[in-house]
Amino acid sequence: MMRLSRRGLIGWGVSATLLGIGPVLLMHDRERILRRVIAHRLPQVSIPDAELRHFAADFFSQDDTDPRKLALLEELQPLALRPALSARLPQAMQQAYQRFERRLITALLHCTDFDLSQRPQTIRYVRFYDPFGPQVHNRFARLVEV
Amino acid sequence: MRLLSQPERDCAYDLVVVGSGFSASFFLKAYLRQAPAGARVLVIERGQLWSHERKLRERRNSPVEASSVIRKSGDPNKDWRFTIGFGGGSSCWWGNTPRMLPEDFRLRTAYGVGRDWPLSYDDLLPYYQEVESVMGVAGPDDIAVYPRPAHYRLPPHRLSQVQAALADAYPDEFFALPSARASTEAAGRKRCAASSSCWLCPMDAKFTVQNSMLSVYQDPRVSVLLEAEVLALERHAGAVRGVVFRHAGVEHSVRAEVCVLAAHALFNPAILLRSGFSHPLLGGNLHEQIGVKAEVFLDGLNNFDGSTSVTGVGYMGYAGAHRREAGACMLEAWNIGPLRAENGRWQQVLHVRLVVEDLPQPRNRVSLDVASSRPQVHFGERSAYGLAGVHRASRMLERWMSVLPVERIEISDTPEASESHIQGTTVMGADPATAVLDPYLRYHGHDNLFVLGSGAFPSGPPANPTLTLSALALRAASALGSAAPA
Repeated sequence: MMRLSRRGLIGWGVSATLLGIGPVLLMHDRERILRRVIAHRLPQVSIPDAELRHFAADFFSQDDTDPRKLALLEELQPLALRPALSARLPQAMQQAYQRFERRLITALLHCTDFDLSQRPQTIRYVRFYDPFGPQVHNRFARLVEV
Repeated sequence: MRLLSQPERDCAYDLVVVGSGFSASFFLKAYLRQAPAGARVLVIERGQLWSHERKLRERRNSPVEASSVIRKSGDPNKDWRFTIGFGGGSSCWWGNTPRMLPEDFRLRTAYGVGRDWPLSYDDLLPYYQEVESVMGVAGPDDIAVYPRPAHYRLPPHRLSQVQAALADAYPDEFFALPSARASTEAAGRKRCAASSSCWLCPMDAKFTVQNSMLSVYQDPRVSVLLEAEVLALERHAGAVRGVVFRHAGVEHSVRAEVCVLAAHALFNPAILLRSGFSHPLLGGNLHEQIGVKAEVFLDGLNNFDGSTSVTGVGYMGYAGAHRREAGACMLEAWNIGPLRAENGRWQQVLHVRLVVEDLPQPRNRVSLDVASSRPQVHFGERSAYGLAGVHRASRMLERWMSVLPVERIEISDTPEASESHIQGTTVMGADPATAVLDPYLRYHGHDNLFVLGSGAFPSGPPANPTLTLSALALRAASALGSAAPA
């Protein structure tokens, strides 16, 4: 049987712990940035945790934001959400945050049963908007009728 | 389709076509109309033939990365987009099919800049109509900016609210963009669902060679060899005699009475250069339009409720005396793109793209990379004329949009990396001293060699080139005999 030194054992334990909980921590952070955007932009909407987790997983699987950039956006978010402070951010950062926010809202509006009204409501995640899926449904488009 | 697993041995063909995209397909269509029953045609395609389902499954049109088959120099941000596979560019194009304006064909005569084309709008008219019919173009019948005697096959796409307001304000200059994305279910294609992924349409609603012109390749006179890369042409006494290609790692050659290069404007000149052709303009004048994105933020008027991706087109900055100093601009009005984040105002933004004419620059060119013999694509500069056009269009955008309740306009300060149009490396003209090809796209001095595609374009007007290059291919085939359009 292979014997582990004390240092090896500790190293293995730390690695296993990081590997195990790292994605959970990352996912937690990523959900938090989504939740803040939604609370700020759509205060009439609430999403159950499980629905948000599901949406977040699908959204981040398609969104091409670099994880490091996402972490930076999360740091900036408290400033970006306040207009007076947001204006003090470098323009490139403001724009990066705004682009992310718009991508997120665009995806959310296409993927949930939000009725686009100002009425308080709990929304449900329906399915991710897949532009390559044969069942794609662009909720805003009005197709040509014969 | 008669797919060859191996090249036929000691075979001679009446016609060898290199490539299977728009130009190849329309040329073949016209050729087969007049060819005898016993004619033998070989199509050599470098890529694979993937089903639409496979493309969707793999989320790509081809396993070949475009960047892996060329070498680039010059502007590191410049990108060249194409598909290597059966159907060529028809797999990845977006389906926009505006015609060029009559004045686009006489730029030098009308405005004293660039070059005239060696043919007129009227010369191309019957071929435009045939291509539009084959593609099942959806468009309005009352277009004022260019003469169009026939009806489009499909009704026009629906404009969004904001675009309808622009059409009201500019009745002759803003209208539903003619497109080969089906507006209604027709000719075996489903209706466009405005999915926003036109380069690989999930509905198969846009025209592709695969969904609308496969019958050309199923003709019993035609054989198709896939995954064969053409290396060079064999020449003798002012004529092409054969085609040399590599298939499964082995070099082969076939004899050809007539040869058609339809491998697009990066690979056509590379094949010609490898074959010893040496016209000073061969490979030069590589160009395409300059695209600049802008967003028009609106107050109370909605976008995104049109019926396809790019729904409207504006000609407010296209024709006119400004073309003496600055490139023409065509305005694409988009019905897709990011919404606004502000609560309740999600649809109040119009994404536009200013597509500006650029003048070909001799130093932008395709040559051969010495080590690999691949196309070496150098693009270093846009013309002062084109950049003046961008400046003018950016300035004019505010005026054009002043008929709308505009909150603010944001214009990108850098051009897009690519318009996905590759033009100008085998320019056509009547005079062999100043043009590589004659007006029927034959290599000057070689009556049995056609070089198709937008490489022949002497200038780069803003209109998307596919309809025009397809019409040119039909017209080229008419040089072989009586292939008058149906």
